[in-house]
Amino acid sequence: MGLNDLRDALVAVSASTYHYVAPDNAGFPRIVWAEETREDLIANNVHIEKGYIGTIDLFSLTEGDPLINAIDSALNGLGVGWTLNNVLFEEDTRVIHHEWNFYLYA
Amino acid sequence: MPKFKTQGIEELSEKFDKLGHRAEGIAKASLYEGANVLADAIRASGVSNGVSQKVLDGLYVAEFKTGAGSVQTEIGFAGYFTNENGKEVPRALVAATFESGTSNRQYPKTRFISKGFYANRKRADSAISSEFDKRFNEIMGE
Repeated sequence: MGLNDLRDALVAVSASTYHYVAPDNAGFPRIVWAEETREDLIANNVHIEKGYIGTIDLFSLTEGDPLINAIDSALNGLGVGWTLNNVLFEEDTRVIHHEWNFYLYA
Repeated sequence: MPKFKTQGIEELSEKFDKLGHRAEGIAKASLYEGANVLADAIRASGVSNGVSQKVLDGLYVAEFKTGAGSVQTEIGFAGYFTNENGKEVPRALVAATFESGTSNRQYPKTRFISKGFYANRKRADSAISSEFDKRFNEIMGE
Protein backbone atom coordinates (compact mmCIF):
# COMPACT_ATOMS: atom_id res chain seq x y z
CA MET A 1 0.00 0.00 0.00
CA GLY A 2 1.19 3.51 -0.72
CA LEU A 3 0.08 7.09 -1.07
CA ASN A 4 -1.47 6.35 -4.47
CA ASP A 5 -3.87 3.93 -2.80
CA LEU A 6 -4.91 6.65 -0.40
CA ARG A 7 -5.39 9.06 -3.32
CA ASP A 8 -7.51 6.50 -5.20
CA ALA A 9 -9.66 5.81 -2.15
CA LEU A 10 -10.32 9.53 -1.63
CA VAL A 11 -11.07 10.09 -5.32
CA ALA A 12 -13.59 7.22 -5.06
CA VAL A 13 -15.25 9.15 -2.21
CA SER A 14 -15.34 12.40 -4.19
CA ALA A 15 -14.02 13.37 -7.61
CA SER A 16 -13.34 16.82 -6.13
CA THR A 17 -10.19 15.58 -4.42
CA TYR A 18 -6.93 17.52 -4.65
CA HIS A 19 -3.37 16.91 -3.55
CA TYR A 20 -1.66 19.67 -1.50
CA VAL A 21 -3.91 22.52 -2.65
CA ALA A 22 -7.21 23.05 -4.43
CA PRO A 23 -7.40 25.32 -7.46
CA ASP A 24 -8.94 28.76 -7.02
CA ASN A 25 -12.15 27.77 -8.82
CA ALA A 26 -12.71 24.59 -6.78
CA GLY A 27 -16.22 24.47 -5.33
CA PHE A 28 -17.69 22.75 -2.28
CA PRO A 29 -17.57 20.09 -1.10
CA ARG A 30 -13.93 19.38 -1.75
CA ILE A 31 -11.22 17.19 -0.28
CA VAL A 32 -7.58 18.25 -0.02
CA TRP A 33 -4.97 15.81 1.23
CA ALA A 34 -1.23 16.06 1.81
CA GLU A 35 1.54 13.98 3.29
CA GLU A 36 3.53 16.07 5.76
CA THR A 37 6.24 14.05 7.39
CA ARG A 38 7.64 10.55 7.71
CA GLU A 39 8.16 8.34 10.73
CA ASP A 40 9.58 5.15 9.23
CA LEU A 41 10.00 1.83 10.93
CA ILE A 42 13.76 1.33 11.19
CA ALA A 43 15.62 -1.88 12.00
CA ASN A 44 19.41 -2.19 11.86
CA ASN A 45 19.54 1.26 10.28
CA VAL A 46 17.36 0.08 7.41
CA HIS A 47 14.03 1.79 6.73
CA ILE A 48 11.92 -1.35 6.54
CA GLU A 49 8.59 0.48 6.25
CA LYS A 50 7.79 4.02 5.25
CA GLY A 51 5.48 5.74 7.68
CA TYR A 52 3.64 8.66 6.13
CA ILE A 53 1.87 11.16 8.35
CA GLY A 54 -0.42 13.73 6.78
CA THR A 55 -3.78 15.38 6.68
CA ILE A 56 -7.06 15.09 4.83
CA ASP A 57 -9.35 18.11 4.77
CA LEU A 58 -13.00 18.16 3.84
CA PHE A 59 -14.49 21.58 3.15
CA SER A 60 -18.26 21.40 2.93
CA LEU A 61 -21.28 23.67 3.17
CA THR A 62 -23.50 20.78 4.30
CA GLU A 63 -24.07 19.98 7.96
CA GLY A 64 -23.60 16.24 8.51
CA ASP A 65 -22.21 15.80 5.02
CA PRO A 66 -22.23 12.04 4.09
CA LEU A 67 -18.67 12.51 2.87
CA ILE A 68 -17.55 12.62 6.51
CA ASN A 69 -18.53 9.00 7.08
CA ALA A 70 -17.36 8.07 3.60
CA ILE A 71 -13.85 9.32 4.39
CA ASP A 72 -13.87 7.44 7.73
CA SER A 73 -14.90 4.27 5.88
CA ALA A 74 -12.35 4.73 3.11
CA LEU A 75 -9.54 5.03 5.66
CA ASN A 76 -10.80 2.04 7.62
CA GLY A 77 -11.09 0.05 4.41
CA LEU A 78 -7.48 0.79 3.54
CA GLY A 79 -6.26 -0.05 7.05
CA VAL A 80 -4.86 3.44 7.43
CA GLY A 81 -4.62 4.80 10.97
CA TRP A 82 -6.40 8.11 11.52
CA THR A 83 -7.70 10.61 14.02
CA LEU A 84 -10.17 13.43 13.49
CA ASN A 85 -7.99 16.36 14.42
CA ASN A 86 -10.30 19.35 14.12
CA VAL A 87 -13.79 20.38 13.14
CA LEU A 88 -13.97 24.09 12.43
CA PHE A 89 -16.86 26.27 11.32
CA GLU A 90 -15.96 29.32 9.26
CA GLU A 91 -18.44 32.04 10.13
CA ASP A 92 -17.67 34.18 7.08
CA THR A 93 -17.92 31.45 4.43
CA ARG A 94 -20.30 29.06 6.33
CA VAL A 95 -17.86 26.28 5.45
CA ILE A 96 -17.58 23.32 7.80
CA HIS A 97 -13.98 22.12 7.82
CA HIS A 98 -13.14 18.59 8.97
CA GLU A 99 -9.47 17.68 9.27
CA TRP A 100 -8.18 14.13 9.72
CA ASN A 101 -4.62 13.10 10.52
CA PHE A 102 -3.61 9.90 8.75
CA TYR A 103 -0.81 7.43 9.49
CA LEU A 104 0.01 5.22 6.54
CA TYR A 105 2.67 2.49 6.56
CA ALA A 106 3.86 1.43 3.13
CA MET B 1 21.25 -30.00 41.88
CA PRO B 2 22.77 -26.51 41.55
CA LYS B 3 22.51 -24.25 44.54
CA PHE B 4 21.94 -20.54 44.43
CA LYS B 5 22.72 -18.17 47.20
CA THR B 6 21.49 -14.63 47.18
CA GLN B 7 22.13 -11.84 49.60
CA GLY B 8 20.34 -8.63 50.30
CA ILE B 9 16.85 -9.82 49.35
CA GLU B 10 15.30 -7.99 52.29
CA GLU B 11 17.10 -4.81 51.38
CA LEU B 12 15.99 -5.11 47.77
CA SER B 13 12.43 -5.77 48.89
CA GLU B 14 12.49 -2.62 51.02
CA LYS B 15 13.69 -0.63 48.03
CA PHE B 16 10.90 -1.92 45.87
CA ASP B 17 8.46 -0.99 48.65
CA LYS B 18 9.85 2.54 48.62
CA LEU B 19 9.56 2.61 44.86
CA GLY B 20 5.95 1.52 45.03
CA HIS B 21 5.04 4.40 47.28
CA ARG B 22 6.81 6.92 45.10
CA ALA B 23 6.04 5.52 41.65
CA GLU B 24 3.36 8.06 40.88
CA GLY B 25 5.61 10.94 41.89
CA ILE B 26 8.39 9.63 39.67
CA ALA B 27 6.00 9.24 36.74
CA LYS B 28 4.67 12.78 37.17
CA ALA B 29 8.13 14.32 37.47
CA SER B 30 9.26 12.44 34.36
CA LEU B 31 6.20 13.42 32.34
CA TYR B 32 6.66 17.02 33.45
CA GLU B 33 10.09 17.08 31.82
CA GLY B 34 8.76 15.62 28.56
CA ALA B 35 5.73 17.91 28.45
CA ASN B 36 7.96 20.96 28.95
CA VAL B 37 10.14 19.92 26.01
CA LEU B 38 7.07 19.69 23.77
CA ALA B 39 5.44 22.88 25.07
CA ASP B 40 8.67 24.84 24.46
CA ALA B 41 8.98 23.29 20.99
CA ILE B 42 5.40 24.16 20.06
CA ARG B 43 5.89 27.72 21.32
CA ALA B 44 9.08 28.09 19.24
CA SER B 45 7.35 26.55 16.22
CA GLY B 46 4.50 29.03 16.66
CA VAL B 47 6.90 31.97 16.71
CA SER B 48 8.73 30.79 13.58
CA ASN B 49 5.45 30.13 11.76
CA GLY B 50 4.04 33.57 12.47
CA VAL B 51 1.46 32.64 15.10
CA SER B 52 0.37 35.68 17.12
CA GLN B 53 2.03 36.07 20.49
CA LYS B 54 -1.45 36.73 21.89
CA VAL B 55 -2.29 33.12 21.02
CA LEU B 56 1.00 31.66 22.25
CA ASP B 57 0.59 33.45 25.59
CA GLY B 58 -2.18 30.96 26.39
CA LEU B 59 -0.10 27.81 25.84
CA TYR B 60 -0.41 25.55 28.86
CA VAL B 61 0.44 22.10 30.15
CA ALA B 62 -2.66 20.72 31.84
CA GLU B 63 -2.87 19.37 35.35
CA PHE B 64 -1.78 15.75 35.36
CA LYS B 65 -4.41 13.04 35.48
CA THR B 66 -3.69 9.66 37.01
CA GLY B 67 -5.57 6.43 36.68
CA ALA B 68 -5.32 2.84 35.48
CA GLY B 69 -1.57 2.80 36.05
CA SER B 70 -0.85 5.81 33.90
CA VAL B 71 -0.22 9.54 34.17
CA GLN B 72 -1.48 11.79 31.40
CA THR B 73 -1.48 15.41 30.50
CA GLU B 74 -2.24 17.57 27.51
CA ILE B 75 -0.88 20.72 25.97
CA GLY B 76 -3.42 23.30 24.87
CA PHE B 77 -4.36 26.96 24.64
CA ALA B 78 -6.36 28.64 27.38
CA GLY B 79 -8.37 31.82 27.64
CA TYR B 80 -9.36 34.61 25.30
CA PHE B 81 -7.66 37.59 23.75
CA THR B 82 -8.83 40.74 21.97
CA ASN B 83 -8.21 40.59 18.24
CA GLU B 84 -7.56 43.51 15.89
CA ASN B 85 -11.32 44.04 15.50
CA GLY B 86 -11.73 44.48 19.23
CA LYS B 87 -13.49 41.13 19.56
CA GLU B 88 -12.82 38.64 22.35
CA VAL B 89 -11.82 35.37 20.71
CA PRO B 90 -10.87 32.02 22.25
CA ARG B 91 -7.19 31.19 21.87
CA ALA B 92 -7.94 27.49 21.32
CA LEU B 93 -10.08 28.30 18.28
CA VAL B 94 -7.52 30.65 16.79
CA ALA B 95 -4.72 28.13 17.42
CA ALA B 96 -6.78 25.43 15.70
CA THR B 97 -7.37 27.75 12.74
CA PHE B 98 -3.65 28.50 12.46
CA GLU B 99 -2.93 24.78 12.68
CA SER B 100 -5.56 23.52 10.23
CA GLY B 101 -5.98 26.49 7.89
CA THR B 102 -9.22 27.56 6.26
CA SER B 103 -10.99 27.12 2.93
CA ASN B 104 -9.54 30.50 1.94
CA ARG B 105 -6.11 30.00 0.40
CA GLN B 106 -4.94 33.21 2.02
CA TYR B 107 -4.99 31.32 5.33
CA PRO B 108 -3.34 27.96 4.71
CA LYS B 109 -2.33 25.45 7.36
CA THR B 110 0.71 26.35 9.42
CA ARG B 111 0.82 23.01 11.29
CA PHE B 112 2.92 24.68 13.96
CA ILE B 113 1.70 22.28 16.64
CA SER B 114 2.35 19.16 14.57
CA LYS B 115 5.75 20.40 13.44
CA GLY B 116 6.78 21.12 17.01
CA PHE B 117 5.44 17.77 18.16
CA TYR B 118 6.84 15.43 15.52
CA ALA B 119 10.25 17.09 15.38
CA ASN B 120 10.69 16.87 19.15
CA ARG B 121 8.81 13.75 20.23
CA LYS B 122 11.99 11.69 20.56
CA ARG B 123 13.66 14.47 22.55
CA ALA B 124 10.64 14.49 24.86
CA ASP B 125 10.86 10.70 25.23
CA SER B 126 14.53 11.05 26.14
CA ALA B 127 13.75 13.74 28.72
CA ILE B 128 11.13 11.47 30.30
CA SER B 129 13.49 8.47 30.37
CA SER B 130 16.35 10.52 31.72
CA GLU B 131 14.30 11.99 34.57
CA PHE B 132 12.82 8.58 35.35
CA ASP B 133 16.27 6.95 35.52
CA LYS B 134 17.58 9.72 37.73
CA ARG B 135 14.72 9.44 40.23
CA PHE B 136 14.70 5.66 40.11
CA ASN B 137 18.43 5.45 40.81
CA GLU B 138 18.11 7.96 43.65
CA ILE B 139 15.62 5.71 45.39
CA MET B 140 17.48 2.49 44.69
CA GLY B 141 20.65 4.11 45.99
CA GLU B 142 19.12 5.18 49.30
